[in-house]
Amino acid sequence: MTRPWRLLLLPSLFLWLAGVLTPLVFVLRMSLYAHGEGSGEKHFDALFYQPGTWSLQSILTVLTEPFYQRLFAFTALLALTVTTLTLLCGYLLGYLVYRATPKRKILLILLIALPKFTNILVFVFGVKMIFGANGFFPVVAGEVLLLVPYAALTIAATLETVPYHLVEAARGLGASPAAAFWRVTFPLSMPGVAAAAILTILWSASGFLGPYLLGEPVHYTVAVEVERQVRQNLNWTLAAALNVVLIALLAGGAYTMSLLRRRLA
Amino acid sequence: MKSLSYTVLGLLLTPLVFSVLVSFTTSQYLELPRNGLTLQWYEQFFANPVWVRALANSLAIAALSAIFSVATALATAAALVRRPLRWKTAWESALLLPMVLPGVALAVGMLAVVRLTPLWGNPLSLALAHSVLSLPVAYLVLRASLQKMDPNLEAAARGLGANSWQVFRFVTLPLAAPAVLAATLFSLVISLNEITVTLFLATRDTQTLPRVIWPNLRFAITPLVAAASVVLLTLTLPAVIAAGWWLRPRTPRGATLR
Amino acid sequence: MIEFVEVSKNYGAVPAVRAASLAVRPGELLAVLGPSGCGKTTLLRIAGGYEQPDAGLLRIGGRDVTHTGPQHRNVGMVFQNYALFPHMNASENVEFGLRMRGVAKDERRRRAAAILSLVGLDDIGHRKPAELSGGQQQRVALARALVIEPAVLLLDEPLANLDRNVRLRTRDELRALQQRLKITTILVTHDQEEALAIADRISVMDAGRIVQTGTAIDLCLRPASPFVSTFFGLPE
Repeated sequence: MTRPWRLLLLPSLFLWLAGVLTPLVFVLRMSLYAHGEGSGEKHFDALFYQPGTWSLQSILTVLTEPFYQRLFAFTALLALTVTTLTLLCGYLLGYLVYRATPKRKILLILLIALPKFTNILVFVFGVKMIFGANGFFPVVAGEVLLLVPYAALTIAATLETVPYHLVEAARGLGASPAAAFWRVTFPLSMPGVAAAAILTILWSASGFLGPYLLGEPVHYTVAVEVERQVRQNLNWTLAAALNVVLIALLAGGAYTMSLLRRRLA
Repeated sequence: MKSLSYTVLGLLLTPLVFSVLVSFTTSQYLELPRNGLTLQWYEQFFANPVWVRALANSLAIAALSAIFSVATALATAAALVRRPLRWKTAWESALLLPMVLPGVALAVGMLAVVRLTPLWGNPLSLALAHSVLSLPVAYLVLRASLQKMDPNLEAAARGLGANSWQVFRFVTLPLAAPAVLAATLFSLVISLNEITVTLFLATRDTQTLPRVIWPNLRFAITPLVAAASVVLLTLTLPAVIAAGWWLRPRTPRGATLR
Repeated sequence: MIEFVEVSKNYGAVPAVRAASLAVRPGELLAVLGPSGCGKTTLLRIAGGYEQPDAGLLRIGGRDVTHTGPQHRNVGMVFQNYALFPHMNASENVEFGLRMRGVAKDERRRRAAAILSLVGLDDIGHRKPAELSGGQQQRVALARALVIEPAVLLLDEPLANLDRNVRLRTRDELRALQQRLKITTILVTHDQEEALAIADRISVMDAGRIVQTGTAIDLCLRPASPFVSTFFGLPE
């Protein structure tokens, strides 16, 4: 039998090969070139890398130079801080949605999602006006506020699947409201928290706009450094190497977390 | 506890309110309006060809990318939903990959690819790149809608003599229309707001509005930036509210009794 | 007429229908009776072409349709939840099958109105399914299945979603209509009272097998197995 419907997969196959796989392969290949003559200079016709060469130089630079080690350490510290705060705030908002009346629920979801649909630059610019001058605190606040809608809505969606009659049953058996929450609702909402945690850590570790626009150079993350190497230093091989190490670390981290999550479930 | 929750919600919404207010300030700096309101920053925005050109680019690129991503997502969802396929899960995960990949990694790779093609400096490259980013969202919206649909409706249409295309054209597509609209609006909004990939791929001729806001935000900050931001906001906000309205949970219609 | 020959269907390792053989005579109403999960709906979906049997043959009017798609079988099916298209009004729902057959618009209108009138629904053609009562939805679904003049009519628990009063009335009307049109019909139900009241013959299904097929009197007086007799609630 012929399966003509398989032709329907062609557009997404094309978009994925051209827009996801090929770029990623290019990044990997670029990280293994010797870097071009253009490095450190700002003329646009310079070679960004030397085609046809193979070199571990850029990867080694990223892995061994103290500057880059500090960069990755700071990115990890920022990601962990942001993730912790995002999950806390996300749970608060998610619970608010869960306990709201159906009409208010829609309004709350809209309000929580609203910042995600306004321009990220507008948003960061507003954060800057509230939290003032550049520094670690504005960076953290900015990233948390950028990520909290996702965490809140993920957690709210999981809370919605917890049948309220379970809480009522716990109350009937003599549990206080707080006890019912900690013994019934909270454990049952953990899958949502875990899902939100994985997404938040991935997104905060590759965060770019918050640190760039709200931080001093000491608050720059790996992603900011990538942008600077590509667009200012024209050192594409180094940028690619940074990306390769970042993706490897994130993939490893996400894999470990999904293992932990399965263990917990 | 509840007041803490509302504080977080307040913080989440303040940046928006601030930037809207600042766009009407009479001051030359980014300050809240004190001595009345003015539209001068909007006048400057629309008088400056750089900003207007960027606005036009933004709209054209957003429209193209929404067409690409929704058409692709619709074809993919129609092919995959309710068909047991060995590689389905793997294929879906691959499609959703751009959601979790670092934006800069994708951007650097796309830059390297696009510079080797004739698309460099062509708005088409930005439209395609944006559709790569909005495809996962469009796909998730359409998949959810098709999964929710009563499979008996399609079965009934086939039993009444409709072929696969007619089933899709007369039953599936009209029923998925709200989701198609919502996916289109989400794709438009994603493209209109996109900055990371745009920063790498845009040239002088293909600058979008966020791309022009960017250096102004980092270096020369005037309330014009706030006005530009609000222009962007007035484009995206109605779209979002409309999408939310179309996707709102509804009481089940006749076909899904029980 | 429609004929099942040793039809089997498995879902993974779970058998849903096991070597079912059944011949429905022209103009007959045959009820397939059994508890939920006995495979009766699967049998009906095989008849409609919505499921492919793993083994066996299916003939409609003497023609082998085992591998024919639903759109080429000319079989009318009324789904348990009716499956009315929510975006089309009652008349458009009924016209759908004619439209797929390329019938011109005026002709479609006329035939849809006629068949809606036949099932006792005048003047509701412009209403959407959501604006109809359960009983009206059921009749629209029936009209939609009948208008294409199917060789066989398949009814999947057609009365299960109706209130008791409506159900009894609809049951009698359904039977009268079937006898008037002399249309070969398979009706799936879990309700023995319904089967006894409406069917010419009854097939009792249990765990994927057709245990016995016969008239109500046969099944009551000469049950083939203890299962059949317990299902009819008569002492041995």
